[in-house]
Amino acid sequence: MVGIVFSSLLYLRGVRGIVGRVRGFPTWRPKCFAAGVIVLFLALASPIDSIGHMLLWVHMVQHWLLIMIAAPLILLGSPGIPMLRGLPKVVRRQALGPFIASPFVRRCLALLLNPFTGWMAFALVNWTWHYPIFYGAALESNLVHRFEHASFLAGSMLFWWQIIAPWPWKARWSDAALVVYLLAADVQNTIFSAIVTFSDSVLYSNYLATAPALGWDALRDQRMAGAFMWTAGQVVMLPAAIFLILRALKMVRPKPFVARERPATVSHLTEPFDLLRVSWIGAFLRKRAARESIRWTLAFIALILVIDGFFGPTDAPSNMAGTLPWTHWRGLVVIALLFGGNFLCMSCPLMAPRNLMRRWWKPRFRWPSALRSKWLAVGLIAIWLITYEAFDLWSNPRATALIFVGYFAAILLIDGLFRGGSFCKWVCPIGQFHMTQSLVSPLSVSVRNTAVCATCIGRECIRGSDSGHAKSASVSLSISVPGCELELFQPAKRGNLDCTFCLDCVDACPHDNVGILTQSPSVALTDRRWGSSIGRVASRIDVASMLALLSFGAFANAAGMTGPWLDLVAAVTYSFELTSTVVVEAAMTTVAIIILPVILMSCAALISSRISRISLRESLCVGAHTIVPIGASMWCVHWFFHLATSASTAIPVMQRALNDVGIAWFGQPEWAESCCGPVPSWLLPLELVLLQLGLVVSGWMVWRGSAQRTGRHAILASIPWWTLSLILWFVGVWIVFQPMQMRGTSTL
Amino acid sequence: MSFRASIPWLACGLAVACCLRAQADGGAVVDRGRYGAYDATIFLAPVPPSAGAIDFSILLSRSGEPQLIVPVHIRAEGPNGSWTEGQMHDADSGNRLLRACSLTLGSSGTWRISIQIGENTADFRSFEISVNPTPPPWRTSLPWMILWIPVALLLVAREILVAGQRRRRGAWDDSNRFSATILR
Repeated sequence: MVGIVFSSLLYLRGVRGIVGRVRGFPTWRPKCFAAGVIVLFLALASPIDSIGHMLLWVHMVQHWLLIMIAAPLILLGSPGIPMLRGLPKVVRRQALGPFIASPFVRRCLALLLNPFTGWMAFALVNWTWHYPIFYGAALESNLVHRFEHASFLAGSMLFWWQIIAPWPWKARWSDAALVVYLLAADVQNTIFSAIVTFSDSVLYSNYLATAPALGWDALRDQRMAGAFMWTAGQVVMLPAAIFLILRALKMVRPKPFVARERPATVSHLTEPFDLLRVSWIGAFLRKRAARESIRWTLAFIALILVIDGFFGPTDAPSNMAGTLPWTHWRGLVVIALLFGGNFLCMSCPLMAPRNLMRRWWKPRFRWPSALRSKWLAVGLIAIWLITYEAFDLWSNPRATALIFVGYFAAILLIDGLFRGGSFCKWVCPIGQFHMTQSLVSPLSVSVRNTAVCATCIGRECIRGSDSGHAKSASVSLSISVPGCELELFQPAKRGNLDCTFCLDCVDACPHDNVGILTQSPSVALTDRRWGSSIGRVASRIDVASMLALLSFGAFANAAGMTGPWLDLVAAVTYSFELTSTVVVEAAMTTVAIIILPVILMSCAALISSRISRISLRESLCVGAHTIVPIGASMWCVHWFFHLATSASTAIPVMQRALNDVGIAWFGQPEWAESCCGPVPSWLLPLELVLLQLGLVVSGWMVWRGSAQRTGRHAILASIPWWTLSLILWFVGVWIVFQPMQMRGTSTL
Repeated sequence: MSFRASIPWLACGLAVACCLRAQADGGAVVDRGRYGAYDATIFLAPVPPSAGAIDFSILLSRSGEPQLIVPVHIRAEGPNGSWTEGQMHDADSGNRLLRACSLTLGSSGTWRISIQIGENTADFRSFEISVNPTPPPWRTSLPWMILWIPVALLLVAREILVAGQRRRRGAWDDSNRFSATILR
């Protein structure tokens, strides 16, 4: 079902720009495709499917809908080209392009689309699946039943392909030959139907038990099924044969093609998607005041959380500071990063008071040269991860509130003393997390047209501007528009690292040449070119350490809530006769996020560098970038688990907080909502798919990095890093199968 | 896209919504026969049953007329004396003709299922089902764990094709009119 919806969306996207404007693609084609999709849903997802398990003739109706109605209608919609065009450009060119252009693949396609193959596939599928053994297997196993339907659809599509010849393919046989082709298929259908209709015994024993339940005798049901197949098959095939005969006699001619007035345009397919060009979202995001209003809103929410954290109940599941940041905010983080970009830094509540302060207070100092690296952030991230596990920060609303206050104090102090976005760029561990994970996001702030930047002499995107393109954004000319505070020069920016999506560069650019464009996710991870602010990825050991720490941290953080980890902590604490688990948790997390990564990555880098004859440093730096996708997938899996299982915890804590201030409009807290919701059945498959996505992208990045640097020995040089990615994937899979400690549900 | 052009797609969405709403459940027939004055067919899913949550559905009729109001009670007794019970509701069934109830059968072995229709003790019947042990979770999720292998193989095939095409004639899309037309 997901496949049908996905295919329809692809078709819808790809058909724009060609329908009615290209010869061979008149307006009736999309309508046929839509009708085919409706019939497909009727056949597969309606009560027909369930009653088909109980009555043979209903099952035959289902097969008839699939073979004789849905397949030809979908082919009349000529789905091939629109669906190819509906794919993102990078997928069309980079992933499918080599296959489509391959002579081998074309030979296979030619063989598959041969009339003999089509006829044989149709007949073979029909006879095989109606053989009692296979038919019974399909009734008893859902998986086999699905495979049966898929093969019916595929076989019938191959059959109808020859007759319909979807654009732009042309029919291989003449109309006269196709009449024979069609009638031969009709004959085999007649023979089969006759066998079923005139059989004296019940061929499919499964219906002996089920048909009487609905008031049918099994043999009568079978005869009804045979008669239906017989007549319904003729109803479709004979008119098709008559049409072909009339066309062969030139009594039916296609209507002359009249193109629509506007010329064919495919700009939406060739230009990258730009979020800032989407009508209302783009207009909203381009307004500085709108972005500031998001930050103030979140700052207000943060203030409420701080108050509730300090003065509310100490029990985390009943306190907003114990649930909203750790369950809901983090869930939104992964969704935004997975489907968008670093919108979390864009809406950071810390920036609201900081920007207000900077209106009157201009910092005097430049961030010290000795600290202009990621090492400080690396240390803070490590401390953050260790303290989170050791002190169970998520279960302590007071500590959460204290962290909020500490964060606000830190940004006001640092950005009050130092110019630019010093806190965001060099200090903030959460910001580094967002920037790192957004390396695999599909959206990036980047230039629309590099040629415009080549002629730009003002470089306003980094220096700032007195007006920018803000003339149209109703900003007064007297207001100075700042350039990028994180020193990112747009034409040389690579990926989302160090980009907070503040969109100052969008405001500052006088050519309106900066947008939020689609990027190939992860492509920045293997970009060899020099990047503004970050230099070359192959030489930044501090950046590599940060990426590795956050990637391994994903697994340590997720493992920390599993049963075996907690058992191990308890066992070690008991064996050393300690009174608290803090030291053990801290030690185990240190091993997981520092010692293990150092050992594993050093081994992989050492072996890889020996094989590829590049420096150990370069091998380590490039390798650290390649494990970011698998790490990002683990963060997604972990945090999405909490959101999916504990999303409803927001309701009672907010009801409680409102009741505490005397607002009883929303009733008493529904604490039942807060405890032990069942894990949805779709969650585990989703987690496994996300982990595999991370594995595949990581493996692909390893290959690209090796191929760029080592040429002939690329495969050998990739093996150590592939092995590391596989180890991480195994750990991730192990984690998702473990019993999990819920958040926000502990004591109620 | 104009409103007229969007009509087929709106119809498509409506059909999908209707189909999903009307989607039916059921499973394999485990028992069929007279329950006192009623004709009943009991369905079970998943097939074969394994320890854990099992969905029971009942199709109930009396003199050929579907019975949708009479209360139906189901009780399952396990091999080690454990038992569980529940009421079968049409709200728990996707198929409007059926009524369903999900029972958690905690262990493998032979379970006796007893079904009481209405208040009359004559409208009662029981039967046995064999419940398999719960498979380890990784085994039931295996199809979701091996998806990366075909993707990786496709990526390898792509690399081989690209290398071959480069070797033969330089950039593939500049020399191939068909591909360049589709993939531009």
